[in-house]
Amino acid sequence: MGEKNDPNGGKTWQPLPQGRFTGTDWSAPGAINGQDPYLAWAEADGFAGYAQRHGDQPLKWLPIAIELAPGADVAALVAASRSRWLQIPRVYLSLPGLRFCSARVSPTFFKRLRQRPELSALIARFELGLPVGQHIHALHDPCEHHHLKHARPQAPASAGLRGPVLGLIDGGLALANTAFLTAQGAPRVQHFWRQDSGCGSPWPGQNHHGGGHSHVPLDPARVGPTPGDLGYGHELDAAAIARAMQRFTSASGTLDEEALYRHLQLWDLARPVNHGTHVMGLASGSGNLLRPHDDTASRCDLVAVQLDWSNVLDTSGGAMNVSVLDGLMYILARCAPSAQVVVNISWGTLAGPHDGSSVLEAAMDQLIDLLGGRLQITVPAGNAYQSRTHANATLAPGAEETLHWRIQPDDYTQSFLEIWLPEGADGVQIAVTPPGHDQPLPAMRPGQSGLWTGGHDSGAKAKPVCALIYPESTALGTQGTCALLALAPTANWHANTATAPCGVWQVRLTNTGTQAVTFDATIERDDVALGQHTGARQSYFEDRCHDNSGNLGSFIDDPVNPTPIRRSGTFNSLSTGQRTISVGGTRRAFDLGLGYLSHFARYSPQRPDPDAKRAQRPGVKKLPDTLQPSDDNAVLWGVLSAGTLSGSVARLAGTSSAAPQEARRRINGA
Amino acid sequence: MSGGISGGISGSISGGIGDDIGNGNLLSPDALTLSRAAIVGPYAGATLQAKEPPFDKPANLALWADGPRITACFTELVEGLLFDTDAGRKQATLAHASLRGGRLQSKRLVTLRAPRKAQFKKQAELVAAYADLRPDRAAEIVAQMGFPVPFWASVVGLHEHRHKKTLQLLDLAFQLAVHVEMRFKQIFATLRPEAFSPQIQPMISCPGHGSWPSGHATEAFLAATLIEALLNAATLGNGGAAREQLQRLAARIATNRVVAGVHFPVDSAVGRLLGTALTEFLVARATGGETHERGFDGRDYEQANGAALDFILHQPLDHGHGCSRATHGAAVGSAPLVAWLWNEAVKEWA
Repeated sequence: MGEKNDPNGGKTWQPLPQGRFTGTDWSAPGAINGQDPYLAWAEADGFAGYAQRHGDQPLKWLPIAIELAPGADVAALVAASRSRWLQIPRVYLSLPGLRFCSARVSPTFFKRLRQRPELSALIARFELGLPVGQHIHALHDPCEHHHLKHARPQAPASAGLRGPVLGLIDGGLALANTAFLTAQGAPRVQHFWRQDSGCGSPWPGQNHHGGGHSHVPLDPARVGPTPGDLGYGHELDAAAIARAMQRFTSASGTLDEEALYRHLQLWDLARPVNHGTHVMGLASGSGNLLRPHDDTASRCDLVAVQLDWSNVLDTSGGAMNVSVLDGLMYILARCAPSAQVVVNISWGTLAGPHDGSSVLEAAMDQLIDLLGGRLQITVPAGNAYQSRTHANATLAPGAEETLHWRIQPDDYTQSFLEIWLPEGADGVQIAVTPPGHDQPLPAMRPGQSGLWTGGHDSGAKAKPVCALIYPESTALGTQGTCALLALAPTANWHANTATAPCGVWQVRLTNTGTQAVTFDATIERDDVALGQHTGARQSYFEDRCHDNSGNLGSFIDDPVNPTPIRRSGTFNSLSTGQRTISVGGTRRAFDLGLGYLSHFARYSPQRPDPDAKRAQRPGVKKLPDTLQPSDDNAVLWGVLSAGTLSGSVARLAGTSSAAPQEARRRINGA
Repeated sequence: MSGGISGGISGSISGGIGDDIGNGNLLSPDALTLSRAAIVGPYAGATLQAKEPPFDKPANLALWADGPRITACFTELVEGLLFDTDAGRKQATLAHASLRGGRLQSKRLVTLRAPRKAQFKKQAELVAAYADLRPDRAAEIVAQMGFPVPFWASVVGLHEHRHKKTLQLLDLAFQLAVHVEMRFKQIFATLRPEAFSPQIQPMISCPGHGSWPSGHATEAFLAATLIEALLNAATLGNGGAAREQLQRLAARIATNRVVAGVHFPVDSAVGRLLGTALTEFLVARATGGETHERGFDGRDYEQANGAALDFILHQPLDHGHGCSRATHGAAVGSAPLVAWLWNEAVKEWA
């Protein structure tokens, strides 16, 4: 490769490298099987896709989410490891029998995993978390061997909130909004954990390519101590929040909320509208003058987790597993074992197995099981129903299907396509044709992988702009396998950043086997969250037959339309678990004459499934468990809820608004 | 060349009440006639002290209205520009010949060769891809349909009341660009994207001239490099500090035309080279400096495997993808009128 163009003109795949962190030779036979392909890709492109760059500093720790082998538990993993190379937050020892945990791991962990069969036997699989921010640093006070002796099977009943408790995991939570205060003006938020430990600038959400020089560590005197059982972030309890509120309350009794949030270094609350506050208002607010609430949900204790900003910024594969799992464990650890707890997570991504077998979804299911019905989790069904991010088709033996993956120009973030295949589909070949190429790159079979440098013309040494990682099995799910197609951004201001060509990437699937195979192809979420400026652009599928005309009837799938692009099957990747409650969006007011078709928010998965007869991979969840309004009517999208400052109201659209209403209903019934 | 175009462009750029007075907007001839009759009395002879401006001095430009001033500078600037074509190679050269002195010797400024039709066909796929950005950029695209001066003004703090001569220099430069572009467009006569696919469907009406080179890209990179040179010539020397934003804006303006569906990325690439070369020519004429011949061979503007190449700002301008730049420079002779306007503009950035 060297300084010149690829002599093959970018017509071949190059092998995956040996990982600098894991030491894994990713191109060795079988190396990708059962692993997280996002980890392999990150090692291939030097973790270039993560919002915060690390320069030339070698990474010391990586965050991962672990599923333990059947019969194993967290204590066994702690006993079989050393905190020098495997750090697990202590909170994970509080639930005996739990087979999931997050961890920070050093390169030695991977070495030990290869050396010690007794260690690898404990771990069923693991997924990469987000290797950014404080997640690449050591934990404070993680699990040690001596903790095992003193591990409490259950916290004493007096130690936690008695419930009912509403837990919220989100961003931008305005704790001192009167919607979340008691009638006497005291905070209802009993515990608040923010997962971040610093801020790159006064305005979170700005994308600091290669930045970090302006990183401002948070002041523990203002934001509270690091919770010992989690080992990172900062925690405030109700008394600390009340003290801070008192400090900014004038003699006349008026709280200067803006000054309070500046003091608490909650910079995001300088914005008038925040997703987390809007969601929290729907789940547990006291309403507004037009629609006041006086119910259990408007009086119950609250435990809030503010997600690390990296979750908001990230578009590199939607690895929210560690942050969300840690958040759930935090909420549970602050509640008495007898407390009824409802947790709302109005967050999500698009790719994933959609059969509930991702590490996070499986972990949530086990948590709900372990708590014997005392924990309920509401999650939105997703907003991507019209976004053309999902394709599904059944390939007869010998048949092929070509997907047209449209990558937008001016996309500053990476794009990902996951192709999910059921068990026994080992005859499916995948061939990729980059934009402007007449011929596909060599087709791959299960077990194969490669990097494409595009025959790139940059002066620097060629960098991968595309990877196809097609293992025989995957850590991303437990059924069948997933082929990951990863692409570099299509634009960057910096000449040394590899960019992929925009346009249509053709992905041809050919069934060379003897059985029919049903596949799902899902594009990962790559849009810009409220208030952010990441330069992300959502890629999508194109097809001649797909009807997005906007005519009546064009907002649902037509079962006889031959297009592989299917709205049905587009679903939040966090909400396909068996035990969690997925919530779809409807219109509060709809046209009875038009029936259920006008009942639904157009962006939400719908019930009944208009495309129900279509063949699907085993276990895939396509229907929301329940429905709540997320639009007022066909014209007025969104619903009203709390703005950042007391008394302000904002309208936001999406199933993010539907899920917390279901959480409210559940807590009121609890 | 007409004062109308010049005045019109200048007026729209530099504005001001001078135009209102000059056009007599506030007064009718009758009013002046009545007024004079009331006060004039018997003719008393040529009693005023009158100082005639000196013969053929550039400083006389200060006396004229904006339009005539720019027109005078323009004729001097384009004096000696000539276009030469090679029908065999389908190549065209812009050269400059000093018409003064004894021997007539022309110096090449820019040599261009357009991509083949097959290459434009491949580029059409990129144009189709860029159509995705139309909803995002519609406001910019419409605002940039003329000379997008407010965008440049926003980057460097360019104001009508402070930077009159700078605006006139830009006006002059844009006119140079328009005249050179139109000749090249006429020579190469390349088709617009809509000629290759019924699915391009430009979001603005397609201009009535050829696609290659892009006029908007030429003018944008001319403006970016001219403003940079001007700031560098001033005492504060801020050209380098402003360069990145100026270049990014130029690329944005160029690509917006691709988004709109009226240009190919390769039109932007050649426009960048042409605009830069024209600034180099103008500055050399103004300051007595040298220029280096630049070349762009559109047939080399593609990826190694022949796939269409997208226009990206950090592609090198002096080599690679068909770009070239001569090692040795050549003087193009000073132009005193252009030099006067240049120096006046430089003073505005002190």
